[in-house]
Amino acid sequence: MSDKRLLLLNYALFALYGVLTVGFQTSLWVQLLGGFPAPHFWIPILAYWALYRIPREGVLMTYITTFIIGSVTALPLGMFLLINLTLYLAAAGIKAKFYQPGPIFFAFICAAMSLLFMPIHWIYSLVLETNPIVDLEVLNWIAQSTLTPLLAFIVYPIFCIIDDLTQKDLPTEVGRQFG
Amino acid sequence: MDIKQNNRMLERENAELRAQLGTMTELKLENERLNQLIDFKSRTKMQLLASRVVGQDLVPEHSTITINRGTYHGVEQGMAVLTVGGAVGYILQAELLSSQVILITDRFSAVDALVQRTRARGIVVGMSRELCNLNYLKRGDDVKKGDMIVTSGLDNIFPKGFPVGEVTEVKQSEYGVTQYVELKPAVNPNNLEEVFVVLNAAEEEFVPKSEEAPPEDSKSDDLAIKKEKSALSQIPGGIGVE
Repeated sequence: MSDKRLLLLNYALFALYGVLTVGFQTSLWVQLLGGFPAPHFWIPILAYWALYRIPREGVLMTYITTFIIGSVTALPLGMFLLINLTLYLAAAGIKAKFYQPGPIFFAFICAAMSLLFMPIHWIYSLVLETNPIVDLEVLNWIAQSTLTPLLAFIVYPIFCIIDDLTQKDLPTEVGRQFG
Repeated sequence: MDIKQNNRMLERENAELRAQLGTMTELKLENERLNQLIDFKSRTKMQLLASRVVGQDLVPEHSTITINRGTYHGVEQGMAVLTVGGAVGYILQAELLSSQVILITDRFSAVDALVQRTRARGIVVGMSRELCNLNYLKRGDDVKKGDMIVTSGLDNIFPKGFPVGEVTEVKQSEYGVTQYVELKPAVNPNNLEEVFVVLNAAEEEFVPKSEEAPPEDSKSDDLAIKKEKSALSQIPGGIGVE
């Protein structure tokens, strides 16, 4: 397979992960666990691409992910994109300062992004919307921020396998063993 | 050995029966809910499409649900979604086989509504997962805790007079032209399993039971008039009121 096709396949597989897991979060999770908060399933994609890709690719994947999963929420697409890009920038900023190789740092980045999601959403809502969020779902926020890093440990090897299959350079770190 | 084996077998059987009982209870509850829906559908003139809730919003700050009916089944954007107990929301986006419903508790939803008792008009907007506000209700409008809020039918989405919620709090600031009215939705939109999409409201108008029968006040007025009549007729040379 040519390099271009492999690159496209890499994007497509990550997008497929996004579709499947977000579909799971919005439908099956509800059927199985009712109102119990679900982790942010799409955040590991943003975290992985913020850590292990060049900024141009990472930003492109943030756009792709947002457009794909934007249809399953009433959150306006522009707002969702703004939040995701801010999260991406935050992750890139943390990476620039304190990068550590391995799945633990990946999980830490996922936790930070998940933790930041609601405050960023709330601030943008206050600034940009005429009817901003007034009632913050704090318990949901705590639960989601706790579950997302746990999810990160599960998806990290999957992402490494995708990179391995598409011959993308694996992250040069301890986590390579998962690939 | 036999006792041990018997015990194991009975335990297994017990577990199976418990699982069956759980399934049966679930089916019984579903049957009850569906019977209510069928009963409601047969009593109304509206053209309703029964659908099942299959998903919820990705972000907890937004209240939307996904139903298993889409444009293929005749669903269009803006159609009302309700259940036996009251208004649920309206179609935000219709796909081929599924649709996204914005619930009345979402802060982006708006439903034209009336205070059932006084006919004062306002707009119901979502506030949190379990509460709504009745906005633009004039300061002088009569509304009190416990009042039922119903759809006005003016938005051409919901049939007129369908329950939206019950007033739980009324606040009037010292100044201002409107008042703060908080209400609890008639149906808890977070626990829905089956809903109806209103394909055609057929000018359905829901008349509350209290309006069908004469109100208590008018009954007591009638009694007072009757007593007055009899009293007047007993006065010698009095006015014979018929």
